[in-house]
Amino acid sequence: MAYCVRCGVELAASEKKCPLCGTPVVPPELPETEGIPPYPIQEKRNTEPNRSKGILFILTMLFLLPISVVFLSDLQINDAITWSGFAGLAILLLYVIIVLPFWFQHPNPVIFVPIDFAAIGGYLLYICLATGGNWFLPFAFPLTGSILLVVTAALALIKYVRRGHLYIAAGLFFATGGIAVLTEFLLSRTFPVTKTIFWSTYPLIACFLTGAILIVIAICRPLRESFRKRFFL
Amino acid sequence: MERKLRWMKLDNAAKIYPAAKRRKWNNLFRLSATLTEPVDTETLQAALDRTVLRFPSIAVRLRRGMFWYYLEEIPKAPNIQPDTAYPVARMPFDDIRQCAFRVLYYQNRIAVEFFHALTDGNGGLVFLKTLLAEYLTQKYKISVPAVQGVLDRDAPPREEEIEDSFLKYEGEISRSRKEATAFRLDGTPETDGFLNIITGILNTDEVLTEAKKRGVSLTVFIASVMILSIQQIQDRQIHRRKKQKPIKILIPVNLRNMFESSSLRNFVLFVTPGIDPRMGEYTLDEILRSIHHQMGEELTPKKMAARISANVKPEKSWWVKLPPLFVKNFLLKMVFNSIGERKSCLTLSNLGAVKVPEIMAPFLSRMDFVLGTQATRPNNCGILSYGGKLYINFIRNIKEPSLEREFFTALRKLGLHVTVESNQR
Repeated sequence: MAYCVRCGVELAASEKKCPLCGTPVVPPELPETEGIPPYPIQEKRNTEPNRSKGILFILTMLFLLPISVVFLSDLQINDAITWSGFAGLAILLLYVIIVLPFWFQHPNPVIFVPIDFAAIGGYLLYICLATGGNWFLPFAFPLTGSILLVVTAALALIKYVRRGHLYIAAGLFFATGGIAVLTEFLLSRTFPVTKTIFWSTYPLIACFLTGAILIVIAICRPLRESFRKRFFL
Repeated sequence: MERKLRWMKLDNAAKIYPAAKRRKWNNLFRLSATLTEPVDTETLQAALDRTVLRFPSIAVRLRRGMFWYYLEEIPKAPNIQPDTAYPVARMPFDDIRQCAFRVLYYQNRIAVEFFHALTDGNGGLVFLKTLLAEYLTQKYKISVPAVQGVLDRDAPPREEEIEDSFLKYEGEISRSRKEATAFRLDGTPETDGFLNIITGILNTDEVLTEAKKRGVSLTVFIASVMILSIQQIQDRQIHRRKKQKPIKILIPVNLRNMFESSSLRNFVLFVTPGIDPRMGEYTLDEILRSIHHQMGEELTPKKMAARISANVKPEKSWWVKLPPLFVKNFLLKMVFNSIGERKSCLTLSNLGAVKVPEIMAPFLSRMDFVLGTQATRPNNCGILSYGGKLYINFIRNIKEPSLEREFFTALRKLGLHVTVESNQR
């Protein structure tokens, strides 16, 4: 006979731990008894996901329908793919970003965010080629790539590193400031409007200051406690 | 000569169950008896083969008509099955269309799981007791009299056993069914459909003494402790009292205690007593007083007849009768989803003290009553007492046993001795 030290209830002989709080109960002086469990032990866990895939099929159909309609209309009217490429691929992009992750039982953002960025990059490449532009390689590709790196790194750190979220946030602010400067640099190189770095210094300074404040808060424990006390939700 | 199979309309309460079904959920409940010796499966099958003939309203399958579902007697008893790791496991709708109940065995235990459209807890108990009587008769060559809810297996089924008593006791006026939405218990769903069960075993006399000391019945006492436990959970989840929701418990009421009926089909209604924590924190004594008075106020034959009328009247309207079944299903499901389970936190069903003929008692060590979970609310609770013990079976489809822990520790704090067992993995 064993009692749970936390709940005070007596545990049936079949219970290895308290079913109410999970506390293991092994009376050291008593030989371990093997009571008959009240239900047969489940030999194989049912791994079938409990989530309905039906709704995903319906959503996929809802996305496929307008894609086919725009392509068919364009072909019917113009005998070629003209505007429908932009519209159809935009809907496809939306599908990849919104619906695709739900096909997986545990979608991992560290995997799906790069996939989303790759899709965005592909769409931009299509627009660039279709409009005869020359901005993908010098502008869109490096900018999308650097945002991808920053976002994925931040997600991976938040997901897999349990502590130091203030440092991660500070790093994200520094990187955001850097991306603002990079954007202006790439813009001025690809589309020569101005030759100097001008507006990006404002977000850079703001991001740098915010990042620096976060690091100070992260380092200084009393300050952190004081903030927590005043701003808890 | 081949037996003529009966068919019958679903009773008034049963009509919602087939319509409310979901891909992963059906409304089931289980009654089980634990014997003093291991179950002899051959004898059990033979006993079942004989017992089903006496229960033409329970040994049935569900069939589709053009406008309504109906029940049709099955030509022979289903095969008994070994029990599973958790009770009231999903019964696929295709199975219900073959046979809407199943008999399971495990070690010393015989369990029967019913689709709720067939019968209620009391009808189910009569079936189980009669099956046990037949089993014990065949196994131990004893003669069990047809008393204490055991039916005579040699007698033909009586018409009043298969009547829809709701239609008989409909009142003149209908009562509004409008109610406030209750607090919703929540947790992490079991992704593989596993149902967790925790049984608390108490001494019935101890609990009765505690209830009587406070001037209330056992059901009111248990319901009040349950409400107190849910209040504590809600306090932890929603700190602002103004934002809290009413805490209500759905308690089925056996109408056979109010109206003369021998029906083995559904003949229950329910009351939903509760508290509104927005008015302030309730103590156990305040809850006990409130629930006691709410139950006393509601449980009168006149009020129940008016409630029956509110349920029966729509069924008689041509607007409801005429649409084909698939339209009815769609509409009933919408009604069920938007109203059905939102008016209470959980169901607490107490079958009371189960009595069996004296000659059967030495062979039975325990009985249990397990409700299936609801479609969207994660917890339910079935209670009965047998042989001086009170068996409180909590079922849940979420991982966290928060309610069970609050409830059983509350009973411990009142000085009651509780033994728990579970099917935890």
